[in-house]
Amino acid sequence: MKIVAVTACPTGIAHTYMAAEQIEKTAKAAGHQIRVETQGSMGIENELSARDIAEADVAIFAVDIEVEKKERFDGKKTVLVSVSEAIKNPSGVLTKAGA
Amino acid sequence: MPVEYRFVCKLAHGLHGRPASILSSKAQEFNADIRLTCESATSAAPVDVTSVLSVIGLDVQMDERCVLTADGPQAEAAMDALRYVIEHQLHQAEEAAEQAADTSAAASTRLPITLRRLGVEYAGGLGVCGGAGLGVAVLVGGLALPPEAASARAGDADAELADATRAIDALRAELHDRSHAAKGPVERALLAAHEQITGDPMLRQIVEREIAGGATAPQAVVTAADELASGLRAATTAYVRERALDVQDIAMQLIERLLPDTGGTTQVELTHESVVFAEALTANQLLKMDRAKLKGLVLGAVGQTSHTVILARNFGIPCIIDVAGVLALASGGDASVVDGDGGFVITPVSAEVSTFYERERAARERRLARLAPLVAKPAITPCGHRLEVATNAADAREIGAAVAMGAEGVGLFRTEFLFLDRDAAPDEAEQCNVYASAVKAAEGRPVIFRTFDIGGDKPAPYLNIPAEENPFLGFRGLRLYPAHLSLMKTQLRALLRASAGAPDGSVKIMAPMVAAPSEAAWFREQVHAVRDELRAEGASVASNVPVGMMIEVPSVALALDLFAEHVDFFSIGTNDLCQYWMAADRGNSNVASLCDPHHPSFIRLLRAIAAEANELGKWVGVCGEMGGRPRDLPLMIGFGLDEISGSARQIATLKLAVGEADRQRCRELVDRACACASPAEVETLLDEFNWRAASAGERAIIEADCMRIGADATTKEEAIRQAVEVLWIAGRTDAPRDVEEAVWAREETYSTGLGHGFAVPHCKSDAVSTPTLTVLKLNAPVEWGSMDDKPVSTVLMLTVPESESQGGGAAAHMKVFATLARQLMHEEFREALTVLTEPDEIKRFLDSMLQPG
Repeated sequence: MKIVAVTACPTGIAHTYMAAEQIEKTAKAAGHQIRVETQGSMGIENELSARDIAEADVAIFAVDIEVEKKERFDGKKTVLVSVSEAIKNPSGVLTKAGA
Repeated sequence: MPVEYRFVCKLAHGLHGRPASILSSKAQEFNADIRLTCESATSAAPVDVTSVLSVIGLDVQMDERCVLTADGPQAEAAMDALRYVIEHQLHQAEEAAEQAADTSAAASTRLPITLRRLGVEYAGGLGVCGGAGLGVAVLVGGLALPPEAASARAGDADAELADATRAIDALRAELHDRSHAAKGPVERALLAAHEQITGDPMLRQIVEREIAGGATAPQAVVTAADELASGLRAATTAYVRERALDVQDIAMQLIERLLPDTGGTTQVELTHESVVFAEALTANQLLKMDRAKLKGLVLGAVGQTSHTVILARNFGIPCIIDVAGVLALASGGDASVVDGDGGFVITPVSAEVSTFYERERAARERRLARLAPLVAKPAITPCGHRLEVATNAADAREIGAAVAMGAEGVGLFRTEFLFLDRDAAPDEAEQCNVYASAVKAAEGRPVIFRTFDIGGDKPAPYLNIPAEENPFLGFRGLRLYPAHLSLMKTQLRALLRASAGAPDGSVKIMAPMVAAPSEAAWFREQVHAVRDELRAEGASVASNVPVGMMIEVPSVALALDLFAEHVDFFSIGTNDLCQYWMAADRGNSNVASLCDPHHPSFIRLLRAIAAEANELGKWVGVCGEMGGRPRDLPLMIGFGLDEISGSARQIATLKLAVGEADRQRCRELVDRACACASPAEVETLLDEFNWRAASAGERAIIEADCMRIGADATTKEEAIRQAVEVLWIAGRTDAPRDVEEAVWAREETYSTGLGHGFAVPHCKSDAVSTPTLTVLKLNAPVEWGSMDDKPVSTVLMLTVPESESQGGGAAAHMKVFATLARQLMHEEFREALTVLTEPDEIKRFLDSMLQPG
């Protein structure tokens, strides 16, 4: 399965990256293809391209704040979870996303 | 036939203050015995309504049921009248009083989060000198009879009673007259309230009882005041507790009448480490206290720029002002702590509170010890610009303390404190002694002595300065000298004699309040004449004694060239200059906000003065308060000053900051501040503009000195506090409480305990100077509310300056934190970090894992 994800927390110092790492690690271990964009205090990193999004089966938003450039995901199947949920239970999040 | 009226109190603040006073006044109009009871009263005995103190002491709260009874010839008429007052007038009286209430001081109070979470009770004020001081409460201005009066034996009881009655009646009559003559409503209301208390039947009853029991009139007054005040102090309402102060005030006035020969302020003897509570304290009283024992000051409405406050700052004595009902707050001897940073006082203190401050004190000492070697060096910017960081002082002891903290000289020695609060001017020998000991304490560093600056707000009775309509624009400073020539000459002789033996040029003499070039020329001639006279007498005087002047009058600011030929140096007195420039009296709370040195117009003025002085090749310093404020330091560097002068406790912070400043950026900051439209814009700019040199920001994120292994903490609160303390000791923040506050604000969105025994508390705050990873390894794990509900034993605190986290150049720092966050999701990383116990090893490990390349 092809997955894209965006992580973002209020301060953008720590939890954004923890959530990104958890989702990425868990998805890869389960044999999925995944790309994770972080929206932290360094701005957007590993920005998802239009192609990444188009090819993905599902988009996971592990965020506690608004996703920037959200219009890129118009029409895409998305799953919204909190950052802490992604850190605590990444496989649960993947299950929610149908993966 | 007794009559009765039942009612429910509908006053939001209860039956206190003006409502109580109105009720009592009305009751006094009738020939009847009128009594009040309340369902919640501790004593069932009904109180006499004609006694306002009794009514207030009953402490009737909102929604409580009360019973009013009246008996006697006019009982019915009295009850009708009182019923009308209760139903129709009390409410309005309360509203009027509420509008007059002032809450500005309490608004500035900030209890540290640790104490807030403990639910500690405190009294708020305005912090004017930072730091915390612990000691026993000493109440100054409280009631105490001179020893001989306290132990005196009463004569004839009838004579004593007659004395007491006469004093009470006379005081009441005087208060009556004064309240009718009072100009403002606040003063009028206060005097009327005092009149009422003086006439209170309870006061008379106790005095009569005591005298009948063998007391003298003054002893009876003291007992009555103590008894009445302690009843009021026990009340639940702050307003009622504050009335204890009125009772004390009145008793003091009565005692002054009864013992006219012993009146006046007395010296305060401190026998233990003390926190002094006083409504008002004169500068002289403060100077006479044993400062080794004076640990803190809790004052009433003395004014932020009063000399008492200026001195307290200078001595670094933690001080809060604008505290309501100061003398009613504490009982003498109670362990108390005053917190000048937070703007509050706690009394009495609990074991938890004293532990908190004990730890803070220990951390402060460790920090100072760490910074000492840096602070001993001269303050020089990385690009080589020297800015002397000096101290302001009023006596030699202060200079010694400031030199130990790294002061490079004395930018302003205020000599007028020698002249105030005494009956005659000090003679030459006394002055010479004081100045010589100041020179000695400075150990060869320059000392600028400002000749006496009296007049205006600093009167000296023996000068006979007539009352002036406008003393700040009147006969003060140097303007007094021609009329008091011998006084000035005596001072100059003492100063010049004190210069003998000091390094040449290190003793400098400065004139206050110069407005015209002719005054500067005259002053210099006088100094030279006195010097020649001394030499002719064979006295020894330094060959070079520079003569300078204050810049505090706007007329000087734009014509420095006209003054330059008469003086060797200038020093800007920002406090007075600002109030003259803005035409706003800093002591008048209605206009004091205008007197803000961050007005762009004032910053332009300072820029122009400094530029002109530099152009003329004249040394120029700042000795006003602005010069000692770390926040304003980049402006001072940008102006191109030669010296700044502040209180001893800021010297370390100022010198370290000079060492990090980029002069070009500071100049740019000044130009941008000059282009701002308001003080608020300037302040935002000061907070946000990065004026530090690029090289200064290069302190590593991960350093062994930001780690504490084996920390003793039993709660999450304590762990966070310690992590911030580590940051503070390492010199990476000057405002640890702000950092702690910011960390907790983040913690409250959701816990940073990420499971597996790790927590990553973090914040973005400009209270930290450089991005830092603080590592705390706890001896025993603490509850953190973690994602896996397990306790935490490794704390990794990430702190980033707010401004830093946005700039592109900061990406490298943020990258380290991001990598750390990702690594923490891996078990191997967590395990490796768990087993390491040496700070250096931890640093090497983290560097290898987190730093790029």
